[in-house]
Amino acid sequence: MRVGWSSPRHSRLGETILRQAASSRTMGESILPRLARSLLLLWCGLGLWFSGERLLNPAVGWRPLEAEDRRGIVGLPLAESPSVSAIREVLARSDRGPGAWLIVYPPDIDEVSLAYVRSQLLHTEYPRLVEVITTAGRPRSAGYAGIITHPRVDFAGTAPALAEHRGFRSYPSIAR
Amino acid sequence: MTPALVFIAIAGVWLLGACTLALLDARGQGASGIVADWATGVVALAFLGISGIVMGAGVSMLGTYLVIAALGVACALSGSWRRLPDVTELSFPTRDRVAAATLALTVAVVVLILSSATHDRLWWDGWSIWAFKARVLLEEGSLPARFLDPSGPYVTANLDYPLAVPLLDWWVYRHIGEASPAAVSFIGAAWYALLPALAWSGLRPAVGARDAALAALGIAAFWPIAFYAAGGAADVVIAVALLGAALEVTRTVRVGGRAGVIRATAYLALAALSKNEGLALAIIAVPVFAGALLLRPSGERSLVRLGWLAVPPMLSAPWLLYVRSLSIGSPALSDVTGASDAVERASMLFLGLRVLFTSSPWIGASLIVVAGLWGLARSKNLYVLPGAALLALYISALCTVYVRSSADMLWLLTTAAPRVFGATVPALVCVSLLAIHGRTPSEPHSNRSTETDAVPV
Repeated sequence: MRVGWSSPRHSRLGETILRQAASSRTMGESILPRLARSLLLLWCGLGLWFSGERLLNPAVGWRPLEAEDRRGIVGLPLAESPSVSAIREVLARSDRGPGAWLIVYPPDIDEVSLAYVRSQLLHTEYPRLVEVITTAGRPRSAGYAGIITHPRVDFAGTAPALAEHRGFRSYPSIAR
Repeated sequence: MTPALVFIAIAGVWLLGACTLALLDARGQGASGIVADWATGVVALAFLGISGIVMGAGVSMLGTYLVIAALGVACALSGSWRRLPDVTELSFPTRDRVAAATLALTVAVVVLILSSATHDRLWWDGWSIWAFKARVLLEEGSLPARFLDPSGPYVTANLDYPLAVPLLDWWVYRHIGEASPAAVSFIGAAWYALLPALAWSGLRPAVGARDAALAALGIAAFWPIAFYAAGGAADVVIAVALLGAALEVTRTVRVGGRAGVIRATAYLALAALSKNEGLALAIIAVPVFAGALLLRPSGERSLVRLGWLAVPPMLSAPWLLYVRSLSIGSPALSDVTGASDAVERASMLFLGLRVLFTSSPWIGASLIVVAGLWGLARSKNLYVLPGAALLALYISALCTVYVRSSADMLWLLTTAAPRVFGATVPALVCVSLLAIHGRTPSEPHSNRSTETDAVPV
């Protein structure tokens, strides 16, 4: 029995190797599309898992609209959203016409929450202008139809409150 | 929100775009043709609305319907409707069950996101910028001076931004008769639904049904786009415009035709009228298209078509001049950092983007882009180069703005980067797949769409 490269079995093996070597360029070219398909599958799998997880999150996907004004903050658990509802309720109860209102918060509220309250009220109350500042800030206008204070802002000594809801109180117009 | 009225509003915009493109003899094939109709309709609606606001006449639903009727009559008289596009690409690939099942899953994901959006998924920017402007347009019939006062209380609504998105939202509000946030959320999700359709239709002829269907599914399941789209943010519009423009420039180089340049112009105009970075995209596209058209054998005739690329900046000009006359600046560009800060910010941006692009929902797309770069480097076909150049230049422009802006980099990376860079992902993936398949001997596939002056590249 002959052994080595000259044997028929090894000859066939050699031919196969040579054929594969000759077609290596073609093989190389076919690797990339296969790799791309594998990566597409990976991307789809990750995307479906990631999206599914978030869609099932009640704060993002299928949360029914709540009574609180949480519009515009899907996925952002801001603590101040109930206060927007309270301010809107006080505004509705105060009924002082279409004039501008000043909302005063304590100075220690974080900027993001303040910006959130401001953007919510500018939108929901339009065309009525609602300006939101802290006690450390300065009002933009010279006069307002009324003022609403945060529960932690003390306005003792001014006129009696027009309305109150969850600690937010409204007072008649002020002028600088 | 009344679904029938929302449907009428959407159909009106589509008809506006379809008539415009039909008159220009530039309507496209299949799903990508319908997306191009829609994009053109939004551009036309935006231009009409901006013109009305700038001239003091305000926005008018009746006036817009009169324009649609006039265009429809012009189409009928000119016989443009006789050249209706082939919509066979809309059908499911019944011969390839894997691709059909993948597309069915894509549709299921899109329907889930759309139905979630009907519950009002508005995110911060969608609520406080776009939906707010749409509400002002509904209440006032225009954007009044007290709203556009750069020192007034409404400055947080980014007054300088172009108006395509709020005007589309206003159009829907006007039809349903109320400022419904759920409608804005749904329209945002509808933009997102166009992306997989565009990817499927644009990729299928070149990469085959299975990979095109997988790309459509990957885009549909890419959460950063789905979330912010239902959130009402305008970045999804940029994603549609970027993908549409990249596919059209690639197609134009491959098969030629004036229609592709016109549709690309529509996508670029959509970008320019939607966000400030979209205007940058429209300007970047000029040298890219010039280079792309020079790759065509009929170079000198193609260069005449470059004139179409002047249209997006021209359509943007009235709004840009108007906000300048009101002294409204762009907060992102008003203050620029010095050179020393820029180096530090560039390294922060690089680190931030590295974290972003290697995180869970992004990593698959990032690897596809790496494979696409490999394919591009070894590609014998040059037709993918313009699309790749468009994306590279656009991303470079975004990075430049991030580096030179004086805004806090950490804030930019956490609040804006996922939206802004996420909008580039569908186009990056699709161009990468074209680059990968561009070097396979079997490409192009037999069902490639054709145009009259098709010339192999």
